[in-house]
Amino acid sequence: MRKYVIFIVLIAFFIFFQSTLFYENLNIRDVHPDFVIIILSIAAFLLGSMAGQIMGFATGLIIDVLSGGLLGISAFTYTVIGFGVGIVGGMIYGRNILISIIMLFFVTLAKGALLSLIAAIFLEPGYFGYFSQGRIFLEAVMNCLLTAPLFFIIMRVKRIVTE
Amino acid sequence: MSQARIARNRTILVLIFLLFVSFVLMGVSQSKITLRFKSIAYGILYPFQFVGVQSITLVKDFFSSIENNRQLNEELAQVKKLLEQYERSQYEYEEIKRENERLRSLIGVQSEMDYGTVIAEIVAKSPQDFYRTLVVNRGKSSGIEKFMPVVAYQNQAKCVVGKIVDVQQFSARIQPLIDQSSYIGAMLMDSRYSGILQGQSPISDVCLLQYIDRRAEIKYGDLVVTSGMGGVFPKGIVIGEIVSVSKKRYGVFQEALVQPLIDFGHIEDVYIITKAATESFDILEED
Repeated sequence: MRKYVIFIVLIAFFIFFQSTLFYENLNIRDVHPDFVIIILSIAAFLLGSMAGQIMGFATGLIIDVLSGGLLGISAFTYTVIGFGVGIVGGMIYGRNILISIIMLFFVTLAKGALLSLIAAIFLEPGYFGYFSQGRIFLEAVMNCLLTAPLFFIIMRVKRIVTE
Repeated sequence: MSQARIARNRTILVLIFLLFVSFVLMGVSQSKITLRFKSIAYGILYPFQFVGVQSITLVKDFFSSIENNRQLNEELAQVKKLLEQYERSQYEYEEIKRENERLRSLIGVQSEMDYGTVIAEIVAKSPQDFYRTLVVNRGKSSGIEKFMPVVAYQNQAKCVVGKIVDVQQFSARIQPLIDQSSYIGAMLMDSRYSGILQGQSPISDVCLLQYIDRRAEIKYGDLVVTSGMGGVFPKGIVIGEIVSVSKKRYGVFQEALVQPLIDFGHIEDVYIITKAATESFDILEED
């Protein structure tokens, strides 16, 4: 139970962190890293697909409510990501930080593709440019760079809390 | 059936259920019930967001206070100089305004109403880059209503920020003009040709001005202002500058890209114009 609480607290913290105006300054060419997707992916990787998809759905729904956008779009996207990463985590032996980094690259691309596709269908077709224009690749690189320290911190905290 | 198989089937069933719920939510996203649910859910989450954001901002401000102190002293000196200039300009402005009203009454033109404003501070933003909504610390208790226009001052000019799309008791959410779902009636300030301005976020912070008459001569740097059509924004508020023009060899319209004057990465205070949307806009909303 404690390991679930760690991730819930971290996800809540980073949702609020990404809501601050200070977060706007953390960008390269107006592209920001997505801490929430990093924590969610690490959680799904370590805890499995069931926990991953439920956390993903709840996280996405909260983000949809706070963003005021299409309700359900992030819930759908993060549920798929939580499930997918959980399945991959179940197939891989050991918890290697390098695997997490590579995984985050593809997870970020998947997030961009899903958000763009759903928004293009349910809202304006122009939303697909979010993925096709390539900004998501820069975000993927930034997320990969942040994964290593975050993964290390989470593993240390998890070890301390569960011991 | 083995335990592992049962667990796998349960996981897939839960996945299908969650995806189904997400799809249904997306499908009925614009229904009154869903909008009401969103508003209530946001009302519940906002206090947590507010406390969380303020706590993080407090820690950040503590560490940046030393540099801020030096910057504030410099800004204070600049602001004092600007204030002296404004005081001189104010007298001239009052004279010109009086003359303008006198001339308008002579030729029988009804003078435009001045709208009241409520100053608000931006306390949070959308936690995801995909949407660019802003949250302010003024709500129903301050007389804020849905679809009220929002402006801010940039380089001493009053510029469009967006419009209110959701109101709680003590907070409100702004849809910025750069949002792809935002449409504003706009016109070129010099030639007065009108068009419709649509945001392009999350792809770009530059807006697209569409349906401009092909006869309009548009050049780089031309100012774009609100046209007053659409029932939300008063006429004549600055939106941005033309940064590129696209005129095809055929067709009756041309398009242009408009760079908003407001820097959405550094905006802190806004003014909500307490002008209710017109009747026609209310009817559209009810539909």
